[in-house]
Amino acid sequence: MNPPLFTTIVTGLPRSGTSMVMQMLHAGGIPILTDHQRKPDEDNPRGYFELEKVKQLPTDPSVLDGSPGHAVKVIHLLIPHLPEDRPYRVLFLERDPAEVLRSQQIMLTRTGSSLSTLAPDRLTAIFTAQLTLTQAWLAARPAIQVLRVSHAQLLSDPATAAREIAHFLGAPLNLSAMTSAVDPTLYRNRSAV
Amino acid sequence: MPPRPASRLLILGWDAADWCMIHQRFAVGGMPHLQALLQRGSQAPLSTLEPKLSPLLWTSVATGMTADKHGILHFIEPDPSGGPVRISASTTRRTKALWNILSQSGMRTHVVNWYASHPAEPITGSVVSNLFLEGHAAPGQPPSAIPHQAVFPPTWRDRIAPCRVPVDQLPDSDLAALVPNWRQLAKDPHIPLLRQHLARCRSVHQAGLTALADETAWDCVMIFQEAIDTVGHHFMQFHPPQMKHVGNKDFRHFKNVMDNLYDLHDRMLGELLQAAGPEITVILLSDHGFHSGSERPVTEGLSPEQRAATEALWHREHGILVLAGPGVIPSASLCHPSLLDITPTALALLGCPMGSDMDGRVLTEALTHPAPAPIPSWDTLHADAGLHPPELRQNPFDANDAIRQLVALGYLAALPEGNEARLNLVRDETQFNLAMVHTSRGRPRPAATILTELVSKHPTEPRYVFNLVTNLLNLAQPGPCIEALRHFLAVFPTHPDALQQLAAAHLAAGDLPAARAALSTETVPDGNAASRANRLGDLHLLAGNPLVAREMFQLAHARDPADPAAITGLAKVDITEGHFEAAAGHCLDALEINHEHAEAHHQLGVALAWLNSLDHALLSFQSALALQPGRIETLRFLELIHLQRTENSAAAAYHQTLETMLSDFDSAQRAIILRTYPMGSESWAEQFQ
Repeated sequence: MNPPLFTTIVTGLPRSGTSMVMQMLHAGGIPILTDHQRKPDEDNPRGYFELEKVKQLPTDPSVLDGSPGHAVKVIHLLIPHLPEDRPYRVLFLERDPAEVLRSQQIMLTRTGSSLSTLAPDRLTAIFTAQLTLTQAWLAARPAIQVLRVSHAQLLSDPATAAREIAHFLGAPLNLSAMTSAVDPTLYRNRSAV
Repeated sequence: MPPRPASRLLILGWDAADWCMIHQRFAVGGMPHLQALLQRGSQAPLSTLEPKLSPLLWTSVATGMTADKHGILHFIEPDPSGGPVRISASTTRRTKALWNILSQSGMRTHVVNWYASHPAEPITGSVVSNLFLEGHAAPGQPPSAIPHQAVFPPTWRDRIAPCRVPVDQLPDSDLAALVPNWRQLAKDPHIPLLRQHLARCRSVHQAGLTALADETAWDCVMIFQEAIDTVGHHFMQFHPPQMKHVGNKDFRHFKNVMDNLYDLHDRMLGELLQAAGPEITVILLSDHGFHSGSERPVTEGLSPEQRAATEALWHREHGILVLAGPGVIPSASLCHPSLLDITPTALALLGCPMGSDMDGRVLTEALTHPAPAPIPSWDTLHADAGLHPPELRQNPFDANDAIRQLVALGYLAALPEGNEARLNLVRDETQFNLAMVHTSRGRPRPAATILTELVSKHPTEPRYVFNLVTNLLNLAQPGPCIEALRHFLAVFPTHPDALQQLAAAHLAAGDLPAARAALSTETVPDGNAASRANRLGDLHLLAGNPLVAREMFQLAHARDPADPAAITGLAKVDITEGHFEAAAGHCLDALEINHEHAEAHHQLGVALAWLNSLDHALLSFQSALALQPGRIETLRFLELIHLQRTENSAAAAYHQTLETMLSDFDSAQRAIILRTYPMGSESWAEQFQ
């Protein structure tokens, strides 16, 4: 498979399914930009597929040098810091903000981190506003193609989701492997906590 | 459609402009354009708000609301995009500004350089935000672009770009107008500083002229100039009379800078009026005054942190207000106008109603036409007001909390340690400013709640501790005051303000020996601290030391003969000693200096009551209450005088007001609150029993 000339960006709110999509892409045959610094844990037993230095995007755009042909996970807030001198295709994960918040709180509690003192509705409002601004930034750049990926659909119909992602990326990916990468039981187990 | 008295309105903001300086210029024939404007207009001192910080005040000017409502509470705030801090933004404002309301009403407004106006809002007209000069070329550097979102509509960027005067391209004549021999002072660090402020001033002026020259008919132009404040913070120390710490050389070179700066503003005013045309209605105002006499603070030798905390001491209670042109009654007598009245009055001049949720009023006494009936709120009227979209209008502190959560989850890099500390400081100072707003609006409970939290984190920060004590004393809780002050005094055992407050707390607790002990360790104020001497005078009077109290008030009067508080203090001593006619004379002297001094009206009422001139006493007490609602002792006198005259229904009304105000307090606290100076309302009433 010839590597695509663009960088595949997987983005969304943390705990919206970005790691799951990274697993699918990896299984489907897309090279992943990751340093494996963040190890699998109870919250993401199959791994995070993150690149630590992506956090430095606001001050160092060169962290994405050499990224074309690869997929990389970038949190929604850092999307407006993408260097605009190269092509991207963006997989934008969408998940009910209330579920996202619950999942974040479980993760924070497990890691012993302090929870935000903000009321959930105010936190949800801020996250929603952040997503709207990120989407507006992307919409103002027609050269960047965006596929919105529903977290719920990923779980309920991973085969269709895999097909749509492969079609969007224009790459002959291993759909069967992508579909198998989705393990709804992980989600069901954690959401029941 | 209600009548519209003004066809076009120019609102001109001169940060920190002061009548004292202006009258000095008038006395030597200076500022002819302002003099001419006054001849056809009305003028008054304009009451400021607390805290006297420009972003809060100018946003109150533009919204008619106090800072707890409009939401701009500091110069800087967290950056919702994840950076450390940013200049307080228009997206943080929680209510519509005048330009939004006019836009919503189909009018065209141009806004230039107003505080907290960045990013520029998409109104009908234009906004040149207060960051339009950000990143402006430093000397020797090529001109930079106007920052993103600093100008709306974007098509105006090309008009505004030539208005920006690079620092090194400021005409020499501008500098020479302030410091004629500036070339001989090439190495003096004051010269580049002045050049920088003047380049900004010139840039704003040119942007203002550009707005006025808009070929499309417009309704309102709002221009904000900050140079009198920013230059004043550096150069007012050189203004005559020579301050002790100022060397002869600096005094000689820079003593006329402030006078010349006022003259420069007058020339700019002349140009703006000429550009606006003869049918323009003008509101010229400042957010507060600026000390130019004996009350100037000494900032020489202070650390940058100490200096930052001291800068606000330059600001005086009253700014300036001038109204002139169609729709304005010339030489009208304005009744205690405040910053909060500007937006309601501007709306009335343009034929629009004010919102009942605004905190100010229409200055109807100065307008030729009655104001339209108010509507409940402009904020609940949904129409295109040129506001930013909701997703941009995030509370920056909420946004920062959300970002902290993402950092905790490991998805964003944490800010470097220094930036975190800076953010925490911004958070604390914003809360402090909110507490100051509550304090000044007579809401001690929410103020004390905020300040208790701040003092628990910073038990030796004087502003936090002293403001907490002030609010706790208003809540009649001397115990926690004494505890907080003991912690503070353990670190700063001779801090004069802490000792004063400790004395006040002991007085509130009824512990006279402890109060006198605290006062005995306090030294006679030195330097130019007239206000401190006044406070000491009050405490000595309450502690039963009228002789010392008189000394203190006399000292304050000597420091600042124009200070009505000192003269009113002498009246209080006279009342204590039974010299009621002398007291009334002092009060009248104080009111001649400042007719809006509520305490002078009250003490005049006390003196007149003791002189059995009850009709006049009632008038004085009512004036005090109009100026400062909720004055307990004034309400007590009003109740008791009406009772004495068997005007029972009036007495009952005042009694009910008092009962409502005191309903949250237990009997011990009520006793503390009702404790007064000697010869107060209780003593006065006893003579009839």
